[in-house]
Amino acid sequence: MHSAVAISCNQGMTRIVLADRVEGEPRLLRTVAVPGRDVETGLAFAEERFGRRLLAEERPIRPRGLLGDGADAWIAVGSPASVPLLAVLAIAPDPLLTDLAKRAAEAAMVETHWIEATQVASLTALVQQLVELRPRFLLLTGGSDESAWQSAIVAVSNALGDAFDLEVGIVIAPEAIQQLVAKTIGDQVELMGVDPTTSQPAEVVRAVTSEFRSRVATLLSAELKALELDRFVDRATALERALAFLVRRADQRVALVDLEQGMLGIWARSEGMLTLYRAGRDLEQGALGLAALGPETIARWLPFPMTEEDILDWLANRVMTASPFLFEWRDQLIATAAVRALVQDLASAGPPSGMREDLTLVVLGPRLAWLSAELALLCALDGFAPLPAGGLVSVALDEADLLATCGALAEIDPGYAATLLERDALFPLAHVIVVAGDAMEGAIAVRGEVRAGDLVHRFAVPWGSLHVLPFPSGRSAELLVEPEAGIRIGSLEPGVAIEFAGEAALGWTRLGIVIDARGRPLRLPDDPPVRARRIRSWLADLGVAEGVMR
Amino acid sequence: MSALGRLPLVAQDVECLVRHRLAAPELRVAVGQLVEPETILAMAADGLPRSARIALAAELGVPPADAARYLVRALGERVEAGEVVAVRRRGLRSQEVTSPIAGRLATLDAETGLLTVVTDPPRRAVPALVAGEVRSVADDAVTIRAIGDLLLGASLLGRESAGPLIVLADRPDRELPAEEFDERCRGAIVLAGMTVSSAALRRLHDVGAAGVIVGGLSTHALEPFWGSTTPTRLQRALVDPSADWPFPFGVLMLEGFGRLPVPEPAFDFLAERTGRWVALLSSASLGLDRPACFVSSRGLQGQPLQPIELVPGAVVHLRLPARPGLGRLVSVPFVARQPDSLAFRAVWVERDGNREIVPVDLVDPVAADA
Repeated sequence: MHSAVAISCNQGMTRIVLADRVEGEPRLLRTVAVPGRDVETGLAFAEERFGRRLLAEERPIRPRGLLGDGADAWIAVGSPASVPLLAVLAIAPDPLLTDLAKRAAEAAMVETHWIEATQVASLTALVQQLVELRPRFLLLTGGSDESAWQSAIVAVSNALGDAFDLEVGIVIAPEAIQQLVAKTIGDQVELMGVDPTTSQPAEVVRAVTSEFRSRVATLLSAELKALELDRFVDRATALERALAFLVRRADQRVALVDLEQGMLGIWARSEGMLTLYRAGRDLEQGALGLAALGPETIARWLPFPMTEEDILDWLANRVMTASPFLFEWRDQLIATAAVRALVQDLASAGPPSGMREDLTLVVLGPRLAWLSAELALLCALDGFAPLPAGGLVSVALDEADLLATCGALAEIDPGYAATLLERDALFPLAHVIVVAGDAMEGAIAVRGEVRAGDLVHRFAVPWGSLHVLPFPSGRSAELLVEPEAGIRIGSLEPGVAIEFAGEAALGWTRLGIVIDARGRPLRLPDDPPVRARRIRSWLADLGVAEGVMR
Repeated sequence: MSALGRLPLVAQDVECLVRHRLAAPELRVAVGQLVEPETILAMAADGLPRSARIALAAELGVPPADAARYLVRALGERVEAGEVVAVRRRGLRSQEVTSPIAGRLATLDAETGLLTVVTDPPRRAVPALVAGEVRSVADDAVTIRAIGDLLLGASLLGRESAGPLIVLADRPDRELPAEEFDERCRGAIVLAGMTVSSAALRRLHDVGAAGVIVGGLSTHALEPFWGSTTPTRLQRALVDPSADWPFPFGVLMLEGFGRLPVPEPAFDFLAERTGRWVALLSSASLGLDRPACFVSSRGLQGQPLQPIELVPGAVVHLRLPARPGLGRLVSVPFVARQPDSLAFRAVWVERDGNREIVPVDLVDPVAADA
């Protein structure tokens, strides 16, 4: 394969990515993003920007022409315009099965609505609830209490009558129950089943999630049917595949946050992967969903006072305008505060503490690449609060949406996708040395030296602050960091120094090396004015001008 | 370079087609008929019929075919929410099934044992809201050709309405105390100023205002009416005009959420039309991407509502929620790339001595004449 075009289709943004071989190697040539879900405008801008014809008579040109027009592979990655609704009906209480259903639903990029059958007053109320919800997908789960299932299935059957267009129902239950469900509603809806007594929990979760994701991809393909693309891949699957590659290739312990349509968080390491999706929580049409976090959780990350009322108004304006633009510094600061609160909330439902913070790489999705670099870094550091075992965590931006692109392209040509991902996917934002332990505010926490070529810079970083060590573009840097007594670097023993030299020297990043000497867990003062001053001082540490923090 | 145009913030003597969507209408007008804002177009259902399905056989534990024997109300009868519709005696106990909603017992399916209760939505008289000529009548809509002056808004919360305009605020950035909203507001569209508090909203409700125009509305003002569900319900109201809204009148926000002054050209436009009959119309009724305030005129000929070319020197209103206001164009539209990969149509605008790039979608030319 010589070239590929990927259309990344999300709620508030459409991206066209063009990859082609340069000196034989697959490389990113260009990417174009347009506001809104607008493939037509995106392709028109892309043709203008790339200087290549992509379409002929509104169809993709394939294969790639001699002059570079068209592409050999055309793929779409993303989500349908509206996130499908999944109703999970928990029928007979079983904590294990409930947990399986929860994990499967959370990873599926659907909007989930839970119904505990035992909590519903009557069958009629259950029927009514289903009719009013009109879910596209249904997940039935429960133990082997047949009488409980009998009643619930009758309710589902009654709701199905002519009320809504249910696409698929999945049953997580023993085989006998699956047969019962099939007998009752099998002629009304397409059913699938998985038996938790004969499958491993992870297999159950994977099977259910995969089925819902494939349905999501089918909905996307139905929307873009006219384009006759080669492949349609749901965003979560594509991102997971790309992260799995990073983990395999470099033994990374990665966390990713993606805000393209709702919020998606993925934690990946060699031991496994955890994906969590929250529909209706983002910075555009889902902005008012952030109110569920409590406006005060957003306000606490702001460098200026802002009432809860003003925060709600800001969120409502984001929904009303539904624009991706954040031109004003004030808007960027509020968005950064909201993202930190969102990521914290998601992380609290993520992997167990310890694993959650032990990260070597934090990846920020393309939407966060539009924040200033300093603010994007704070989203990563304050949201995930990484505490890497080895002391170093890198923060990278997926500016061009290449993780999803490569994850999707891998279905057609894994080698091509792997090379593209390695070469161009992540833009390095910062290497961060995380300092933990306990010390007096302002006391020196670590000292060290950074060497980039002939340049040698010695530094000392006080406890409670951030410190940036920039180094010249195109150079690598050697770093030595020595903690004071009682201070740890990452999860190393107190007082143990770290050094990155020779082959371990650190590569260039946009912001350079950042020493995060604020400790873990990150503590914010309770007093609002003191807290705002603290946030301002951290922003100033990163080089943000005092004048924009109002 | 592009000669891309945008609809003006205000336009005079323009011709609009106002399309009233109707549910199950009994029409009162015909094509070609001249209508006044208060002319009733039809009696129509106020919302969609709602139904509830009662799993009667399953609830009673009887075969579906037997379920009818246990009904205590006949099909076709009206029942209230919570009223018993079926009873089965089991020894000394009675098992009762109640209706979850008020409505009419519509059907009982002998194969499933499912009883359906249907709520017929109340019917209401649908006024024309604007003066004009009925251009088309269909099963689900009446379209009126209207001539008048138009002011674009940002969002209309609640239902469409019409009435004589009263301007209570004396300047665009004034917020009036609730006491100012008195009997003068009854049946009127009220220009309330910068914003209205929850007390003012309650007062406007009490005196029977027909509609309200403000610069901005704070979400906080809605909390006494929606409580902790305010964000969720507001989200619904923003994307679905038929979603529930705590007032019988609509609120047209000219800028957005928050304490935002009325744009000066809009304030002047409305002040000049005090006493005239105005309508608050949704984007769907006008076929535009935004709602508007429409002031019917008696003219017979109007200009089509057309985009105005964005040319350097033109005064524009900027719909930036953080910093709305007026500016002057210093460029024609171009494809901006900020950051490099993003492509969007934008213009350079100068205001307060500074130049900034603004997406074309957030720019309204200010024009006195269409």
